[in-house]
Amino acid sequence: MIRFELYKTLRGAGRDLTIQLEYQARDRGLLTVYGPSGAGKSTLLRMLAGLTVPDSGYIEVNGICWYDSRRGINLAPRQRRVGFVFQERSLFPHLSVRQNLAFGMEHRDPGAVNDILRALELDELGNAKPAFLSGGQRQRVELGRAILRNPALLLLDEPLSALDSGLRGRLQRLVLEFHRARDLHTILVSHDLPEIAALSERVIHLENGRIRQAGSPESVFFSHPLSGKVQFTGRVLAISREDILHVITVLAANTVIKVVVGEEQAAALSAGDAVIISSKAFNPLVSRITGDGEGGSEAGG
Amino acid sequence: MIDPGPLWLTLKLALVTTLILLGLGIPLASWLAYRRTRWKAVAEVFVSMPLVLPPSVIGFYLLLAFSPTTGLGRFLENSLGLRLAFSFPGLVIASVLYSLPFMVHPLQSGFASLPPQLREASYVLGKTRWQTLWRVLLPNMKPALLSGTVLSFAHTIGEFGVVLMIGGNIPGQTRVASIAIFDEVESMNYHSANLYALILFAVSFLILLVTYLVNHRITLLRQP
Repeated sequence: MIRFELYKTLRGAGRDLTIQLEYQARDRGLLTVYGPSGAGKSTLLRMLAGLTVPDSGYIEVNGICWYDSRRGINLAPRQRRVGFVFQERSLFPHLSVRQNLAFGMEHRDPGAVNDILRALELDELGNAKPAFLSGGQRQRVELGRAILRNPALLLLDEPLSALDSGLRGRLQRLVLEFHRARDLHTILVSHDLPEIAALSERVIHLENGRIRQAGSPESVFFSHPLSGKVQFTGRVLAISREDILHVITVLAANTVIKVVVGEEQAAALSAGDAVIISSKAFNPLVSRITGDGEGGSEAGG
Repeated sequence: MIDPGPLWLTLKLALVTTLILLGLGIPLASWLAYRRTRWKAVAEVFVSMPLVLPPSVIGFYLLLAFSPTTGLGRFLENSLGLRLAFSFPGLVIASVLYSLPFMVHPLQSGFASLPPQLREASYVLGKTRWQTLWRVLLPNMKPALLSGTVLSFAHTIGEFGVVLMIGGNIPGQTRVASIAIFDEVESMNYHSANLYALILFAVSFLILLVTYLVNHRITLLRQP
């Protein structure tokens, strides 16, 4: 069981941000916090870990009160049984991988360190210093170190954002394995929709310090009425006239698309405008992308 | 030949001063680097004052403070049995104050340049402030520790004005090498003065050379 209600005003250069959050969960489903940067996601994790003191509220994890402004309780980070994987590098540069992993353990247990080294596929790097590790290896050590702390609450602040998709998938599986095997409360901050869909059982959509939406990933992201309509947003790069047609060039994600539009529509648009492009008449073709980058079997048409 | 006494006394003074400064400078520098209070600016000014004040000013006020004619001096002498003016312990106190910025400034920038998440990771991993200081922060700021130690040591060796003001020139007690040089010159013993000066020059040169070489090595070792 995890419950918290937190209030905090952050003074910023441009404007103040007031964080106002209330959440509780009985079971241990993995929770993802999602939202634009500056919404208060990292501050939420820092308040839960005890690194930032809220203005008021309470935090309770598995029946133990970590923070309660009314009763004057505020446990130090070291008393909270938290595993924290930071967004920035936080491995201790002067210690080896093995020493980093064992740093937060309450009792010496070389066996447990060996087990985790094996689980993280880092068996041969136990004696290496962090400076000699790749980004993915470092993130795995950070995760292992947090796990060996034997936390009640695991906090992951966009730990996978800097990794390529292959590594990301492996680490996501590791997070999920640890989360299930060790019976943890896990809170993940992520921007990546596929990641959120693959990992989380619950999602909080945070905006301007407040919860805008909360629920299962399906209900938060896929709640629009189902239709076969293909729709995406983009930005107009250019508008040109070719013979009797008007053509607009739109950048959607990383793809440049040319679309024919009517004369009136062309006159109403200008370069830089945000537009929605949708198709309603035809069922789209869906092709799986295979490993070698060529189109695979078609699944519709 | 010259009397080696002043040289040994100089080394002893520099060693004792540096050790005390390490004990004092580490907590003070970490406080200055991490705390945000309105008192921080005042503390920083006090730490830096010896850099801008003439040594004679510090020496003069210390002499007043240590003198049995003032309240503090009387308290020290009557209650604690300490007579600090014109004594080695008095010299140590003066040197600690005078070399304070040379220890605190490198340490403070050492603390400030460590990424904050190292400290936070250590706290979250169950360590106290002291454990974090010893096991995470200090091991990762060896160049700053070395700079602070060496600069304090070398600066104490080179001290003159403060020592002259509060220490006088008592052989075996307060007659350090820099005072001995002045004394020999006053007595027209240029040869002896030259020997003292040469030895101080060589010692200071070697200490700084070793520091820069070691610091260079530490920096190189950190890069893969």
